[in-house]
Amino acid sequence: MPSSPDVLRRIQGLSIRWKIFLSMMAVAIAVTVGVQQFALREQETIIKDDVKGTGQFIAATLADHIAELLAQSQYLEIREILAGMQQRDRRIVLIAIKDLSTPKKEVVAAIGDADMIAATSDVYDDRIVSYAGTDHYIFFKPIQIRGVAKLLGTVHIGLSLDFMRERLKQTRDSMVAIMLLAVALAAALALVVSNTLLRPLERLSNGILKIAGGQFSHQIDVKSGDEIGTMARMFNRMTENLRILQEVSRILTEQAGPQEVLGAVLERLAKNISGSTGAVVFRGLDGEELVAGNADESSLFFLRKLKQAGYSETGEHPRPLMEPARLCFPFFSEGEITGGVWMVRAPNNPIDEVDERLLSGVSIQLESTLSKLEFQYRSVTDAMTGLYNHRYFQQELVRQMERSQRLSGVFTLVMADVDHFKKINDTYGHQQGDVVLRAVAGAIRKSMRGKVDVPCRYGGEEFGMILPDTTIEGAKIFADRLRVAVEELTFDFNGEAVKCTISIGLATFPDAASDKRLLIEVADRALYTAKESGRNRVKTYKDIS
Amino acid sequence: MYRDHQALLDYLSAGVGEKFDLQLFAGYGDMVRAIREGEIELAWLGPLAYLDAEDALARHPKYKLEPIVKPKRHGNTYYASEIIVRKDSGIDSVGQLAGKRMAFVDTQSTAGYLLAAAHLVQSGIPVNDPILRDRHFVNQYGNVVLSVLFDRYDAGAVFEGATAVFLKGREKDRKAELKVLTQSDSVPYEPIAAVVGGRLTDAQAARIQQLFLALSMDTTYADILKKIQVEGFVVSQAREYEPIRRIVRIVNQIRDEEPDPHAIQP
Repeated sequence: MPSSPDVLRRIQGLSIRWKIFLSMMAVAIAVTVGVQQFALREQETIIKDDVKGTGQFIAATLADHIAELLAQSQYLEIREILAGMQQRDRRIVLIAIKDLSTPKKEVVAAIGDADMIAATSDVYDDRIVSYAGTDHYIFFKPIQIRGVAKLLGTVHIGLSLDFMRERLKQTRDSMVAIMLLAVALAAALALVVSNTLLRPLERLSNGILKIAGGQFSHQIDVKSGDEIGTMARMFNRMTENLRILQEVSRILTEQAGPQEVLGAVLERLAKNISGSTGAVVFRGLDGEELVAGNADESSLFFLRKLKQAGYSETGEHPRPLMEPARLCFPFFSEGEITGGVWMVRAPNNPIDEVDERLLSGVSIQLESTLSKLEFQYRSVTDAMTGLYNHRYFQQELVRQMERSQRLSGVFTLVMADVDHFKKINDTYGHQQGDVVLRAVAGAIRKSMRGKVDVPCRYGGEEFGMILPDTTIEGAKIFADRLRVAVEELTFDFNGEAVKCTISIGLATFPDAASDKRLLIEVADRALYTAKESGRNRVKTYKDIS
Repeated sequence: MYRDHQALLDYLSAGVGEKFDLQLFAGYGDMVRAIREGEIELAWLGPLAYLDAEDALARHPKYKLEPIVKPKRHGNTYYASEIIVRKDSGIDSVGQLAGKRMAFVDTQSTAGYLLAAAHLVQSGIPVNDPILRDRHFVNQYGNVVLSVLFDRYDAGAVFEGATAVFLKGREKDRKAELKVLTQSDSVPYEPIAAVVGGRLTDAQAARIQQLFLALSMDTTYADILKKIQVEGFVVSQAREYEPIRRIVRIVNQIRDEEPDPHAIQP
């Protein structure tokens, strides 16, 4: 016999299907057994009451009816009456009429078993007597003529309660049939309920396993509108979010600059949110805004205010802007607001928690990636011109030399210097000088081949450019184009139209020099030659005298 | 009743050539009146009623009542009354019945009253003795037997062999508790009488008598007899019933002596 904790543990270990089945069984059986017991007890009470009423009525009526006959010793007539009564009511198993005017108080008319009559002759009230294994209701009534005190005799009537047992048995049988039906129905119901409940749960759990295995594209197919359906839909959206975040993560590793990163991520995000989305990155010292996707003025306003408020003081990540149809997460890096991402919905389709989690996830990824990009950018960039700095120039030169040696290729180093820059500074001030430098840098960027060429600020008003896989002839064409572009620049300094020019020197690796220091020196000498020959010129290492 | 007698009626109708119908009467008085009015041709009536009817038609200008046959039962055509007592009653002679309580059937019962009462008087019991004065009528022979058995009455008047007939079932083993104290004189069974002088001729009456007598001769009529609970019929004569007149006279002394409300019967 297992102990009760054992039973409890076993029950806990059962499947939900069994739990539902067993509990429904238990309820069905308990209810029907309860009803059965109640019904049987009620029926027994009713039958006994009915028998009692009937028996008392029969005894009283009979006593009344035969009083005169008994007084006149008309026993045969009494016997006929008794026989007639027994025929009419089969429950009557005993009637005994005693004539008290006979010396031995003889039973003068009787129906039923003689021994039973003898056994019940000393019953002088109404009671249930068990005889030969059967219950009988025995009724007693004295016989006297109305208005005459003298007792003439007695009536004993016995009604069998066998029929009651029979009826109770019928009831019990019916109840058992009902119980079996109820149990069958409960079983069917348990099956239906467990199926409607468990099938979706099984799908859900299978789905979870697939997703756990990395199949983020798996959608759980649960159509019910109940809690499980809601759970499945939430789960589907969650996996969708995971898929998006996974893709975003991939995009982030593939993309080079902040612009590309933002563009690709927002494009992916836009596919899955029913609304518009956009992002901004604040770059550089002057906080240049790099906006991608759909610009949202409210979000931009929020982010700008945050940036101005200077969150660097607190060091805590700022809280997002959360409105029913707008959500904006700020990017925060090294105590600074570096941008933010937002989504905007139609007012009738408000943003929920799943959207919030998705955007939060995207925001965190973007924030860290952009922060990393910004750090890289800052470490190799000249803050004023946006071109690569001197250090990066040196590193890149080494990389290009190695690459060219490995591939037996060539590249050309371009050194450029703004003509009479000191005079511009002295005449118009340093700020105007900076304007000139930034304009020249802009011209350099425009003249270069996208991601191939490497433009750097070498120092002061001098720029260095590396043109990979470019011979001296090709470089000359580029240098001339750049020289002309700068020559065409016109500055408006206090109403005065100011022009500037640059001188350019070229040295090709490995023809001009196979050593980094020597290569720079050769290019510088070519530049010097250009200056010497009247400025606004392009000279190559071959022109060095 | 109709069903039991139909076979007999059909038999008589076929034998006589005229249709016989059954007519039942609530009491002997009604039957006597019907005879006097000439409404019936054949009457099956008790000995006392026969005597009453005969008296009533004695001076009738037209009709005359003639007994033609009487039934035979248990091999007898005569019957007597028995007086029964309990064996343990200590009563061994009729004389000892004086002052006792006795059960009778009713005032019109031949064996259950008349023969026994007359026997008591003839045996020397005074007509005003309590046994006769307080006559207890219990309606049926069976009640007489049982009430003596149960010792409710000291004695009872019954037909011959009634004890064996009525002590059955619950009381079948108690026959030994009773004994026959005495037996009265015998009288013939009740006659079937023809009302002659009216629609029925003497020849027809003779024919009917033959038909009755023939019933016990032929086994094909066994069913007819069985239904009316008779073994057969024998010829009956008016003088056979004369002794009953004397008995009635004796019994009437009792009635005259002490009017009994129970004695007034329809």
